[in-house]
Order: sequence, then structure tokens, then C-alpha cells
Amino acid sequence: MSTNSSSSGARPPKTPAAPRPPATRQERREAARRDQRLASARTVAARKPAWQSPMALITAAAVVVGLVVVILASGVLSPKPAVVGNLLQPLSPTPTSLIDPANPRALGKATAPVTVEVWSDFQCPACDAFATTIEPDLISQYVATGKVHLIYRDFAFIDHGAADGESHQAAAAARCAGDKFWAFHDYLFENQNKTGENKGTFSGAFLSSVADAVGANKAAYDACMANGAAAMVAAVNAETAVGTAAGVNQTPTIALNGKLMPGGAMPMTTLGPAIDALIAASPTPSGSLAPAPSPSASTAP
Amino acid sequence: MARGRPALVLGGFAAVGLAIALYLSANALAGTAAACLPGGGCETVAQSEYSHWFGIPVAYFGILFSGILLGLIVAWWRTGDGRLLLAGYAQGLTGVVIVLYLRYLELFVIGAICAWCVAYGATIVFGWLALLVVQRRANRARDEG
Repeated sequence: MSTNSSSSGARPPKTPAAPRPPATRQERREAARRDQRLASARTVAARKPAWQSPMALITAAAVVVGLVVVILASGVLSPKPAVVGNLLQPLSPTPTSLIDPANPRALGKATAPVTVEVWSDFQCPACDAFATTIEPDLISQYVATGKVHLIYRDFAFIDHGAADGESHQAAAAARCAGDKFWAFHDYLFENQNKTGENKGTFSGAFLSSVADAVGANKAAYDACMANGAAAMVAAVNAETAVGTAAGVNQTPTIALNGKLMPGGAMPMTTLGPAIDALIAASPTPSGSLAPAPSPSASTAP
Repeated sequence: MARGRPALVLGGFAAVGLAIALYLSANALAGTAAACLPGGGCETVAQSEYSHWFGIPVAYFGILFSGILLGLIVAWWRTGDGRLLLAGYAQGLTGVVIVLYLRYLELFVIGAICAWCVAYGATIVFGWLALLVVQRRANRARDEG
């Protein structure tokens, strides 16, 4: 913009509408500032609405992504178990064809190269997570293929050792179910109280309804559970003591060929390679922490 | 806009978050309980079914989250590319939503508060607030420039 009118030689005609061009340096500076403000105002006017700005769109997208993650993690979209009576049916029932005929609390062949023992308490939420999310993969990938002999071990401690506590009574009832142990196991974890332990969920009536649901021999079950299931509770305590002596101090604890593994509920991403390494390293039969099969209804009086 | 001091603050939040996530992950891996802090509750939270997502300890996701955030901040500090800052802002906001959900679980579902988890969540929330401030300053500087 030309600001020096004197250099043109002729003075432009004076009209009231046309402002006088800035003559001094200060006027020129003010005119420049005014132009800048006008340009800035025009830019703002030409801008899209605030809600269409990249920042707003990214903000909305981030919130949506966060909500999607929350929804997926919350399990709202995952399949829900069917309800029969007062019980939730297990989503992933253990295949009965894999039950070890010599030990109703074991799955797979006793001659499998690797023995996996799961030290567990039926009231323990992490044991529930292991049993319902990891164990089905372990069973399909390793037990069904003859690579693993899977044994459930009682480590009943959440009821603080009370013989009539829920951990002990649930463990005893599962043993009293005899060859229906695994179905009983599946029902207990599926119906575990998600809001806390020792709140009366695994009552005698509840355990009896589970025995009905899994089709246990009810006469044998009732006889086994009579008098506080004393024999089974003693067996549960004995196995828990074996675990304590071996160093089990939390549930679940996984033992591979008798060796306790750190990490509690090992995901398949670490459990699978650990089993593979044992298979590769040793073709000999596996070992276990606990001795012979513990008493169950099949051997109980 | 000078990036040194903002990057230090943002990187500080992400680094502290990463350290806490590493500590909690190490405990999850070793099967040990996190050191007690006032309020306790970490063992209860760690033993709950909500401590794992898709069979993986939640703390592992924390490492991934804070690691990526720290990487974005360092990259922004080195290059000044505003898109990196914007990506960090978006990731941080996603994290805030998830942190709010996790606090809800602790307060109303599990019934126990893990101070380590709260501290980690604080690094995400305050880190995002700081990112918001830096992002707005960067926007203003761009508009004025």
C-alpha cells in the first residue's frame, strides 16, 4: 500500500468518504495494526464452527475409543451364561471325555509328558479367572492332545481354615460329587460371588443344588456331605497342608512337573511356552507335588 | 513455542506412570503383592477378576500406554511436529476415560482402593490436563504466528 502521497506530485481530490492516507510513521504503524486486526477478524469469521475443529473431532474420537475399550473390557458384549433355576450354567464346560478314570479331579493321561497342577480355592476370584478364561485353552490345546495331565489341587484358605467355611465346604462338596467333580468345579466358578468372599454364597443348599445340576449321585453326595463332610474336609486340609509345605502361598498357583511357577494365574502366553519347553526338554513321565489321588466320593465311605 | 519445559512436564508424568506400571507388572509377573501404601487394598484389587483384561494383567497395558505416550512426547520435543502432540492429547483422553472406569470398579464393584493404581491414574489425568494446556498454547501460537 502506497502511503507517501507527496511523492506523487499531485494531491488527490479530498472527499469526505475517503480517509486521508497515513502520513507519519506512527499513522502507518497504526494502519498496519488495523489491517492486521481486520485480517485476523476475517480469518476467524471464515473458520469452521468450533465443534468442527480438528481438536474437537479428535477429542470426540478419543472419548469414543476410550468408551469402546471400557465396553470391551467390561465384558458387556461377551456371551452370558444361561440361567437354570438359581444357577448360571458354565460357558465352557470341561469335556467329560478327558476325565482321568483313576482320579476324578484330574484330566488327561497320567502318562502325559507334563503334569500341570492348579492349586486353587473355589472362592478365589483369580482362580475363577484362570478356570473360566485360561483353563479352557489349556485343556483344548494341551490336555486333549495328550501333552498335559491336569490336576486340580485344593488350597482352601480364604475362609481362614474354618471347616464349615465356604472354601472348605465347596471343596468338600466338589469331591463328594465324585466323577462329576469337573462339572461341579465349572458350576462353582461360574456362580462365584463376584462382590466378595465368605458372604454365604456357597451354602449347603446352594451346593446341593449344584449337585443336582451336574447330575451327581445324590444319595452318595448327601451321605458324603453329612456331618459337615468331615472326611472330605480332612482331605481338603491335608492337601492344603501339602501345598503350604511345598511353598504355595497364593491362589491360583500353577505347578509344572512339580515345580511351582511364579505369577499366579499364568496367561497362556507364558504358560504355553513353559509347557512346550518342558515337553522339548524331557520326554520322560512327569512329576507332581502331591502324592496319590486325594479322596473323593468314589473312595469315600 | 518453546518446547523444553512443557516436554519436561509432560514427559515427567508419562515417565512416572511408566515406572508405576512397570512395578505393578513386575508384581503381577512374580505373583507378589505390591508394597503397602496408605489405604491398602492392592492385594484385593490384584486378586479380583478385573485385574486381567482378556487374560492379561491390566498393568501390562499400563506399560504399553505410558510407553507410547512417553514416545510421542519425546518425539514432539525433538521434532516440534504438532500432530505428535495432538496424538498424545487424544491418547491421554482415551486413558482418562479408562482410568475413570477403573476407579468406578474399585469404588463400587470391588470395594477396595489400590493406592498404586490411583497414583497411576493420577499421572494419566494430570498428564492429559497438562497436554490440554500445552496443546491450547500451541494452537494459540500457531494462530498468532
